[in-house]
Amino acid sequence: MSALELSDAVRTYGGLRALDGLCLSVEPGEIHAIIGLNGAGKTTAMKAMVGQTALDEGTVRIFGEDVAHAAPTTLARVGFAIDQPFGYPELTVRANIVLAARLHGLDRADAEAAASSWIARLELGRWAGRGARGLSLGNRQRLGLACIAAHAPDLLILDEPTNALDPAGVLLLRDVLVAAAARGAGVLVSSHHLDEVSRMAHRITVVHAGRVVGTLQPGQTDLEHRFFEVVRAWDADHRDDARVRAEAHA
Amino acid sequence: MSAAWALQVATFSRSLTARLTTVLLVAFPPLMSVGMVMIARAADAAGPAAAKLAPYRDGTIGEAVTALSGQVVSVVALIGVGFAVAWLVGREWADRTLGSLFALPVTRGQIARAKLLVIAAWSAACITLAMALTAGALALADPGSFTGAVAGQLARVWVAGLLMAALALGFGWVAVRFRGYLGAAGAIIAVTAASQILAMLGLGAWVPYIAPAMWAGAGGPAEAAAIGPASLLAAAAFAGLAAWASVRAFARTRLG
Repeated sequence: MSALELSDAVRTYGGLRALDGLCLSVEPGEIHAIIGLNGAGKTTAMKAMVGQTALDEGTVRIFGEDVAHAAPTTLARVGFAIDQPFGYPELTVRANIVLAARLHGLDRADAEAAASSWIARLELGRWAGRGARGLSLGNRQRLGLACIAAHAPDLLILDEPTNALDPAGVLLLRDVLVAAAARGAGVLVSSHHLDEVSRMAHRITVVHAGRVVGTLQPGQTDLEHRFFEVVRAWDADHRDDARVRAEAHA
Repeated sequence: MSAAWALQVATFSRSLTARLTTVLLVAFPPLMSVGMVMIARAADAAGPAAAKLAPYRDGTIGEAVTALSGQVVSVVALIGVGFAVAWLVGREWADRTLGSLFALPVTRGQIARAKLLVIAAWSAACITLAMALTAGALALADPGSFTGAVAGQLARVWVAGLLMAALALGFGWVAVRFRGYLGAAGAIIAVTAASQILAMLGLGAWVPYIAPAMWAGAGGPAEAAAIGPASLLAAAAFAGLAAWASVRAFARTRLG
């Protein structure tokens, strides 16, 4: 059974089709990276996966269950960071992690233990007793990662998790995701850092114009060049479609 | 303690909004009601202020304090608790924390119920403390006028304050609809102003946000006598409906 399955997803905003029949899946033990230009539909797709936005058409299944009606025990197996990582500014780093873990189903004692472990693992010790409000953007991103990983989820969904991290933070994140996949968790990650994606992903999917337009081989050289080849090829093949759509809206 | 409740207790207790509204709810009623009456009756109260303070010289000190207390507690409960609800609900949009509350084993409905329960428990404690301080200050200022009737009237003001606090829970619905606390803050001001106008027009008995205040003596003894149990039950039912609508709206909200 797939950890995550998005099928035939359509989401329109006015005349814009942000998702246009997008299909994605994540298998247990797999790191699946999705890459695409700004506005390609990556974030919208992830928002639909966790119910933040409703789909006009299509389905989202998490461990075989419709996400809108999934059991609490199923949702307890999910962790995600989309757009804004978890973190209440008035709470300390430790309190944020403890409460996030409890919201994901851990009891208080386990949540406290998990918080201590993740504070050490993500090198947040210096800030553990400080309010999240005072953290740098990079450390807020580390805090967000701790908040969604402390309950050891079986499915991780991360939207641009490296965009504010320093090189040390990027390495920590990579270790966390690789370790999660190694214990059997499915990981879906979007990123603009193609080199980083190439190093850790088992599968790379190119999303463009709200749909899947190709795949790339992880570990291959010059990933950036190949990415643009896929996108430009799709644009060239669908130039006429775009013109028809533009005329229809005129 | 459930996770939803623990989160709301932790965030609300550390907020500036909670600190400011606690001071407003606890300190303002006794200071305003007992303090104003004692100033009005001070020998050197003269000049333009004397005319404004004149109503507080009528009757015994105990009677004047309870009459003023009814006005102050009703308004402060609606505004103070309203702002607290508006912040605790609307902050999820303002601080962009709402997104993390999706796809959790704890539902957004449970989280919304915890928000309203935290506010309800906190506001009940604040209003109870405010009335105890008012009674204590009156007992110290003029024990002779603290009669059984005055104590009964203070108890009525306490009940009215709790009812006004319950009515304020409905501003959570406005915070959800306007995706932040600013819309709810505007609604609190609008409801307060509209209530004053409707009360002056004599339409208060069946307006939920006015009836408890009138019953507590905010409009004088004649208006208080006109408020029967049916008006209060209607206000309580409206408060329950508005709280339910707040929870339902939060549970169903999306980011767009």
